[in-house]
Amino acid sequence: MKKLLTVLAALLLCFSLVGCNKNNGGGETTPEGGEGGGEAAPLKIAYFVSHLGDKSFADSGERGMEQLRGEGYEQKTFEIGDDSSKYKDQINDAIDAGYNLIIGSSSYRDYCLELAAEYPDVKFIIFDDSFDNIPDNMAAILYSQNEGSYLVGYMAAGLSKTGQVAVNVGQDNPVIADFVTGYVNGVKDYNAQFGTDVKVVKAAVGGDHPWGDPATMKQLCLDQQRNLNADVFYQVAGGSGMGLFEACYETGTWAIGVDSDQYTTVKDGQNPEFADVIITSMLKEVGNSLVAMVHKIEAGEDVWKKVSVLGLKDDSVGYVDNDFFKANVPQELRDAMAQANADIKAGKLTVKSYYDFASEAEYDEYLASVQ
Amino acid sequence: MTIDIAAFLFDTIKMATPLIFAALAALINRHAGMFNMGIEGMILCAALGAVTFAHYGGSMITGLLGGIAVGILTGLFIGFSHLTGKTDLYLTTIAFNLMATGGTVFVMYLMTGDKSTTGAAFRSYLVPNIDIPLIKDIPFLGKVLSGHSLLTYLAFVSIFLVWFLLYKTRIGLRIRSVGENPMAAESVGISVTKVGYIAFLLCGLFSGLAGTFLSMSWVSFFMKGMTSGRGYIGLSAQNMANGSPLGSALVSLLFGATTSLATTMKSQTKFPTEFLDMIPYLATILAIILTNIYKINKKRRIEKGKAAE
Repeated sequence: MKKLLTVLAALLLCFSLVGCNKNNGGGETTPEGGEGGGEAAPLKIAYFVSHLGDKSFADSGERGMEQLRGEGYEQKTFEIGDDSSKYKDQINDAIDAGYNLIIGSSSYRDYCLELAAEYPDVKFIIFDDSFDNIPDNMAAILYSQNEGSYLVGYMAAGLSKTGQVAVNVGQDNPVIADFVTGYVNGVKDYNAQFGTDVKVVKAAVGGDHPWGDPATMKQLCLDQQRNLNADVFYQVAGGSGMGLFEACYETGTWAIGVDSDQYTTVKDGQNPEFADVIITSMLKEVGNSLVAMVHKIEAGEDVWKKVSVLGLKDDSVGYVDNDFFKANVPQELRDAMAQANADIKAGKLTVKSYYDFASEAEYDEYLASVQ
Repeated sequence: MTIDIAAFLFDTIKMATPLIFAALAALINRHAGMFNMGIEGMILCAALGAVTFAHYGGSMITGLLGGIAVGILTGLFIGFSHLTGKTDLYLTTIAFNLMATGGTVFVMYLMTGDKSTTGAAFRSYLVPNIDIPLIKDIPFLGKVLSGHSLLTYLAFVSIFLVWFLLYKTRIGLRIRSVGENPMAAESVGISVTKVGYIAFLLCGLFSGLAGTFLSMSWVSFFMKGMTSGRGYIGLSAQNMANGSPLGSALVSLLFGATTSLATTMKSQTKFPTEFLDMIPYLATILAIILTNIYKINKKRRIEKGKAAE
């Protein structure tokens, strides 16, 4: 017994020494990175997500990271879960381990802001967010999701036979409201052009898992189909969106996917029949935009202290124009969409954005105008 | 607000189904004197088990049986730690729920390489919906009562089966006597451990059905955390009804109705989503308070009557 304890104690000592050693090692790398800051140390990129595998947002970013790894960058993706109380520590750990470019979505903004002040030599990219007082070592990326949503909203209005379309979100927040604003704008412009009176219903999944509760989403859509006769559904709800596709499949209505080409994703899965309702998807190319951003940083462009807005003209948002889309959307409607797309790119047509509204009440009023 | 009443009632029944199963699972354990909070996790495991067995077995039947089997296994696992391992039931079930949250994602990742849903990697199978021959032709009632999932009808049959089991059979009597006073039961030769295992087995059976309903009827795939607290609601439903099977079903239906109403209101009213999410829970708490007030008044009346005698 005594022997065993001695061995255990010895082991414990060994491990604690190893631990110290590692810490020392980590401590050494940081100042090195700091010294090299003057002549740009090689980028070590850390990408933070809560979970990969959402088939949209986080995965799209990961595709960009794959590309960067392929280009020879030292990159690691950290999956840090849903417990936000641990976010700051985990990002801090990555900085201590020598990562000098931290990439994360708006969920990590507040923690990164704190860390940016502590570590002036480390750079930060916050995407899918817009905010004021951005520090010197931080760059923000905002997507013009309103522009892409405008086009699918325009299409939805043209496709609807009942004059009622829907947009269902996971939870209300400024970025999501920007999707909704663009969609509503698209429907309104279609109405103005063709003298129709297509209505838009908007609802949020809410609850404990707004982005992962397909059962509630399915129920929302079935309810809108029955009570309001909605026949085109746009999902902006991450994992909950699967419930929307199922509801559309059951009721024979159209679905619009989001973030990535969800028709292809579903078609390649084990249940390809569910894909046959996804008429198109509003694309938000997070991965491409991150790659472009890293290249800009390498080229020495000044991206810091400001928000870069990426839209249709940067190919950061768009819609899927595949064979299924071509086969099911009438030619005139497709032409009109392409025309609107070109107009927005050329700056001839400006899409309303949530960030244009002076107050929440103004946004509500805007929604009410098509309800 | 436009609302199709028949569809509203149909949804009420549909949304109550997993809650009824969960409540039945919880109340059997409760009658055996064990407050099983692990039902949430058990349902989650069963939901994953159902789609897994359906995919690999290639049919709806293997999925249904697999879901039930996983439910029973998890029930026996908790039973084993509590009855044979003598662990504290509350701590075990809390740990079990946390384990199920992460464990289901881990197992799903091993099988599919996907961390959020089995929707892409597993073929979907659905428990069939049943049209009841005569009832479906009755104008209003047909729309409400016909066309539900096989499991929904099974849930309503189960209410009476559980009532019969608990109050009309020998094993039911034993379960209740163990719950009332384990020492007394032991003294007349009833094995508390054995009865406890039977209670956990039945609890697992109904949790399994609840999970199967979620992943093979409501939607056709598993998604992490898809129970969203439905196990806990079932647990409190039976608690409100004092362990009565019929009462628990009524509370589940009340919860189903308020959830269904909140869903419609999300689309058609200006109330914030967060407020509407609160309604089912608020209604449940109010109902608990009202039933308790009613019970206390009744008790007072009886006591007054006794004093007058």
